[in-house]
Amino acid sequence: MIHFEPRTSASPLWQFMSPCVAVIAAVLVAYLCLELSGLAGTVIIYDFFIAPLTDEYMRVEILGKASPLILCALGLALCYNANIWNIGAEGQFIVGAIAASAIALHPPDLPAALSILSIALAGAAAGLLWSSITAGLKVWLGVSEILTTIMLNYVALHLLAFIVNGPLRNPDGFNFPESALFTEAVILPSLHADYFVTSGILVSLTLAVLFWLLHTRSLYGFKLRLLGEDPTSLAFLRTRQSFLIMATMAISGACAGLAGALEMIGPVGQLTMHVGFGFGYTAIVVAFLGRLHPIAIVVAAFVLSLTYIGGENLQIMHELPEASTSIFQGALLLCLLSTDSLVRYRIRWRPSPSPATS
Amino acid sequence: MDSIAIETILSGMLRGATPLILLGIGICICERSGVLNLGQEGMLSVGAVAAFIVMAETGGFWSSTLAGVAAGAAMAVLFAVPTLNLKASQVASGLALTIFGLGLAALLGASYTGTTLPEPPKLIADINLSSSLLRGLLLHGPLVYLAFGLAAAALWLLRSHAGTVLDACGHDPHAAAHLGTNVTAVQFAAVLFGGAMAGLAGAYLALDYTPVWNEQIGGGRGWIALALAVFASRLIGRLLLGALLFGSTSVLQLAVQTTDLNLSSHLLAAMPYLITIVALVLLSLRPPGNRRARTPRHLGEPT
Repeated sequence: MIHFEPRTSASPLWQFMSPCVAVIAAVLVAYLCLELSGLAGTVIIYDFFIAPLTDEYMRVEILGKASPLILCALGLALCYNANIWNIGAEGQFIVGAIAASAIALHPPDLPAALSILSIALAGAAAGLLWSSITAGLKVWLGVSEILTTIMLNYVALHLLAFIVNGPLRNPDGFNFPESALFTEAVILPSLHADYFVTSGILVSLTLAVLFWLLHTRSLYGFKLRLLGEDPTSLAFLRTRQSFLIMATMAISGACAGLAGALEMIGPVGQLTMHVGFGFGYTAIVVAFLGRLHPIAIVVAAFVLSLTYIGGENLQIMHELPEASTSIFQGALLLCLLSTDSLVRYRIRWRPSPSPATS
Repeated sequence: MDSIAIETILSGMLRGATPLILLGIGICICERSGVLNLGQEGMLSVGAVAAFIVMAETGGFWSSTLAGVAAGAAMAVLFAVPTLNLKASQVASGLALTIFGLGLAALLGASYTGTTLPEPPKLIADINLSSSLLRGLLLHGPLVYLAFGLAAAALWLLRSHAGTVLDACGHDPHAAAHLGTNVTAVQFAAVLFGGAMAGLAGAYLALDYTPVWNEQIGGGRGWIALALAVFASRLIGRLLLGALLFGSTSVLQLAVQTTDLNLSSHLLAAMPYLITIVALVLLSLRPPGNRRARTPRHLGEPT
């Protein structure tokens, strides 16, 4: 009978191996599902994972989609390290996009660089405020952050519907639920001559390094891990949990809001009902696949960004719905969480079954 | 208030409450065994798509319902094995299950988008009931009444010996194990039951509530039901009350739309989620120390 024996310390080998094994396992699961439903598994898997890497346009797109994923996942990882279950990146992303669009449609009379900065800050501030609602309710009233963040995601989505149908609807847009296109002046410069590569990716990569320093070299990062592992000991550092939770949720919300803003003035260029793309939910998978580590998150973001482009391929070439991507993402996270048990436990065979399995 | 209004309010309340009651019973049982499954929305959607497909292909109401139940339970296995056998994080696994389930439902249902199912059977044929009160209460599909029947059964179960064992697993799994209870087996069963109930709720949504397929059929009800279970302190009686109150918000939404308040329909659509937050806030203001309102001590923690 299989028995799980707790390890005295986490296995470094499996910490590295677990995400790799999980990706392979998820691909196998996807292959089996496809074959069982009578689809050409090999071809679809090729178009999903390999084809996006062979084409320059798609490679560039992977870079673009990775940017918001990195930003959202960095903030989420901060929360998860501290055992704060923020699943509201989607809503924070959307309100960030709304705030950014409101300014981008009526840009202030400033040099281009400054107006872009003000748009980015507006997005971050909106995300920060949105996540602070949850943080405040958690800290002062003890309301579970899991449920409030999810509810606020739905509220943000309906708010977006209201905004694109009302205040920010394009007056010359034949009543379509979308805003006017932003002017060229507020769009981020492209990094590539032929295709649009948002310079937002530079912001994401810089922040990843900053977060890594914050995580490993700062007292804040230390306290954060303490909050996750042994909250009572925080009292010895004269730190109040409530302050730490508020700050962490604020940073996390600001990251997601900034991602929303950069997405608006980057690849999207106008406010529509489709600004979300589910980045906030995919970022949860990214954060876990990246082991909540800022640098590994960048790698994980590229893997999941690949699945976005692969998903578009499947839509075009095999007429599969866009949402099939999230089957893979969900399966990947389930596989990862399962293989992660090898980090903390050793598998042992015990000849006789024990009466109490605890 | 005229008689038509009474009928509309009653029937809207019952129909809105049914999926929440079904989901809520599963969540209460599951959480009282100490397991927090956030995969409700995923199990709900897969249950709905399974029931919808079987109904569209075969036309059998009860076989479709059963397909929904089976699909929900099968989804629950995907949650139970990582969390209970491999000791993975329950919160993260539940989220993963939701992401997976929403994708699976969209893929399977893609070819049925816009398909409309035939009218579901009514428990009582539309005899000419004169009383609007009775019309509002009686003219519904069988799953509405099944939900209340199952609530009564759950109430009885939780008061029996089995209920005590369930609570023991949730409050102190180690003590329960010492007394000879196979905690993992009890929790596994509770998670499977939760999946079956979420699947049944999905079947109700697909076959009766909105018999036209669309990807967003769950509409966040899985999450609202999770909040409702917190609000009800995992007690079935309070759950019923909460679900009925919540079911009436959809009626309220329609009522506000007909007045001169001129509120945007998009903002009104956000109301259920805002009300859920307000409900959670009000709950937190309640004085502590209510013995029955205790959260299972080991909720969400691996044993």
